[in-house]
Amino acid sequence: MTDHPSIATILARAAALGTDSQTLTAPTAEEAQGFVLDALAARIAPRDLTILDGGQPLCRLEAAAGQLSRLVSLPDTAPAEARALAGHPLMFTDLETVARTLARLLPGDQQLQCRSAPPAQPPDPAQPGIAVDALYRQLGLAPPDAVIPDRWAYLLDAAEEMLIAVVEPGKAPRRIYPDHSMTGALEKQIQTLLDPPTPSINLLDKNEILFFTLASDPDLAIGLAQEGAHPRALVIEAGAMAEVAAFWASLAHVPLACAR
Amino acid sequence: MTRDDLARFRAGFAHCELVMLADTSAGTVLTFASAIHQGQERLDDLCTTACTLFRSELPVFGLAVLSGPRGSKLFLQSPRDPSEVICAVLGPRADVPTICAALGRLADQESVT
Repeated sequence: MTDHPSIATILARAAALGTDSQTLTAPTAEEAQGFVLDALAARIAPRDLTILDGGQPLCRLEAAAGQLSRLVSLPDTAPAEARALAGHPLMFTDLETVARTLARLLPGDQQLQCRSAPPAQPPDPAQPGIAVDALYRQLGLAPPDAVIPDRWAYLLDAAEEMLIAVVEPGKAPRRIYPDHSMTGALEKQIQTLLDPPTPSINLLDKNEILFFTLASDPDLAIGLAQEGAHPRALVIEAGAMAEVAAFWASLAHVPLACAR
Repeated sequence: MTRDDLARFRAGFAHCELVMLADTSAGTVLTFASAIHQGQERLDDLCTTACTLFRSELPVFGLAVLSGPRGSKLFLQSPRDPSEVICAVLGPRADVPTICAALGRLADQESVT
């Protein structure tokens, strides 16, 4: 069985979203393909998945034990060799054709939805199908955790245009945009937050950031995180706070393009 | 703000699991609407977080977002009564900026009715 995503991820997602079908706006191919691969990987019991694009059925796929076991039906836009596979148990040798098909059907700029139902016929356990991890590799995608060794550094790099300063305990703030006003009072306030004892750190789970706005500087927002026992902070414009928070939350869920 | 107000709000956004109104002065949950059954413990945890954010030495004012791989939790103080905090629990792919803006409108509406 594939270990992506982990059972913990699946349960966390179910707890966060309920079991209803969710609509995903997927602007990029990585997000669209990642959505479908996640849906396949999350199926433990056999399921017939209907993928909808803009509310219209795009394709039907059968998944079991985190594997793609069958292409149930495909649109005319799918490659002919893939349509010839429809209805038959998939084998590993079909990997390239299946990946090419997913790449063609999921180019991005899509409104995707996944509906799940028990399959009409249970899949043949002797034909396990294609592992999602193999599809990831064939599509040139990688789960973010596999390619981002330091999420904090990745965020600082990705959000550089919105960053005003980065603050580590006991160090002077590293100003990203020195022209931006950051008062001495605010610097002191942040250092107080970072100096032990740090009650704010109790709010944070692993890889969480607490973003908040301040009464003293309503135009600015602070993002507090921790590395081990030590907190650290970034300062951004308050208007960018929700966007940076959304990026951070989605970071673990959107696959990244990488070399095959 | 009624449970129906919160339920309508929640239904308007994919990936919005739970919306809750907490009174941080009393540390109590006033009302909530959720996609799936919520244990009291989870509601109490959210309420405790809201109290820690807005009633401790943390300099938090207005809006706070606790964001991580499991999604985001939004905490917004009511402009009418800052001790009242609207909390929203969102999935990891939620449109946080849009939901934050809508949450602000919901709180503003409440403050003029």
